[in-house]
Amino acid sequence: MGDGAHGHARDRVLNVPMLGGETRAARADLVNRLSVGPDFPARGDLGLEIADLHVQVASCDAGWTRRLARSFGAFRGAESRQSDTVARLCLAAPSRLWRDESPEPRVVRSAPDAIGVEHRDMVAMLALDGSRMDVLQPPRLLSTENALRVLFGLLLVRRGGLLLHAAGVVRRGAATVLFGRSGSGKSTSAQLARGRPILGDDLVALRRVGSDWLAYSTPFGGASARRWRRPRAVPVSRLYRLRHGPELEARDLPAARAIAELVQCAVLPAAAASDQALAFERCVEIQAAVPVRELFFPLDPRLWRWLDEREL
Amino acid sequence: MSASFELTSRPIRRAGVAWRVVDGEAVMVLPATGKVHTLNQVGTRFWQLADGQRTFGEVIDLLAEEFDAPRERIEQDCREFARELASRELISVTAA
Repeated sequence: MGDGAHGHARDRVLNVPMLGGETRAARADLVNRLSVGPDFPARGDLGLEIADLHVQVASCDAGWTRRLARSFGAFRGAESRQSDTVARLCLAAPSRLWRDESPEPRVVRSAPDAIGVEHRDMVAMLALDGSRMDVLQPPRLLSTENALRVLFGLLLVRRGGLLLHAAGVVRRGAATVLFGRSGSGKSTSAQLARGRPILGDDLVALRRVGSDWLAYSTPFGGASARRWRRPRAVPVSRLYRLRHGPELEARDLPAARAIAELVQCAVLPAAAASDQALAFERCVEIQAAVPVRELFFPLDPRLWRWLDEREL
Repeated sequence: MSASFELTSRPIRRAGVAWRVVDGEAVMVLPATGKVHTLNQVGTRFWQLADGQRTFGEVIDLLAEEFDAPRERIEQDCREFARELASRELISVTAA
């Protein structure tokens, strides 16, 4: 692979050219050749802990590592903790390569031991065993967040958990989790929960510990999600599928439909079929353990008082 | 794939579909696509019986008996249902 024919600069760390990048084919080709060598020049690293999963994040740029430490500080893990996996980040200059409009990560290549993932602002190679993720991204925090979301979504399903599009609010020592698609009212419901600990308003991690399901906050959802340390792990007592409706109403949800709704709100970008099947199993397990109902919500500020009065 | 549901053919669930029956209703997902589907009680029984061992006619007979319904109506429902499942790549059909 030479750079002379195309006149492209070569990234000094990765064995890939820095493309002017006009097409998806070029990005897919980039994924194919993305490989971070054993002499990856880490300029600092930090440990992140989400849902009791520990990831060591190494960057080839010291300034970027410091910036990540400031931004994700509320989710720093203990330095002595053994990592479940390693994420290695290399920065690339912003270019037209990063203007893919795809809203969700895509698997663009599969190999016997790794899958390639691309998103609007990063390309990555993820080892199938989840031990390592190598990422090429522009210097944007959202890019790192998207890469980590792919990684943690995968690690969670393999460790008895699930990442869910949900808001989480702590009431009487337990988590009420309201899940739903974009625009269903998750953020609004969290904003209305004044005075109650908030696990999150966009992505919540659920994980089985023994016979219980616990809910965890995550750093995903922009700067506001990482601003302060949220409650660490809270038993889940209620799950509601959030929907718009003319008035506040809670309805029972048949088990099969409840599982289907959970599957549709699970966050597992760019996963192999075996991991999609695992995510399905997690949804079956969650539904069997925690009551799942439908909650119709007209963006009414009385939401939480209404739930409390009915002991829902 | 255009499926032919002759009474002597054998419907069979596609390998790789993850599914469960809870409270008499099936929920399933095709991991390759991530699409999730739920089935009502009759559809769930059809799904459970579509193991490749029974003919389409035998499945209809069993359902007519289980649900105490006219066979002609069950057959019509099964044909429509089987076409829907086949279009979603959830079942295939082996020839007689």
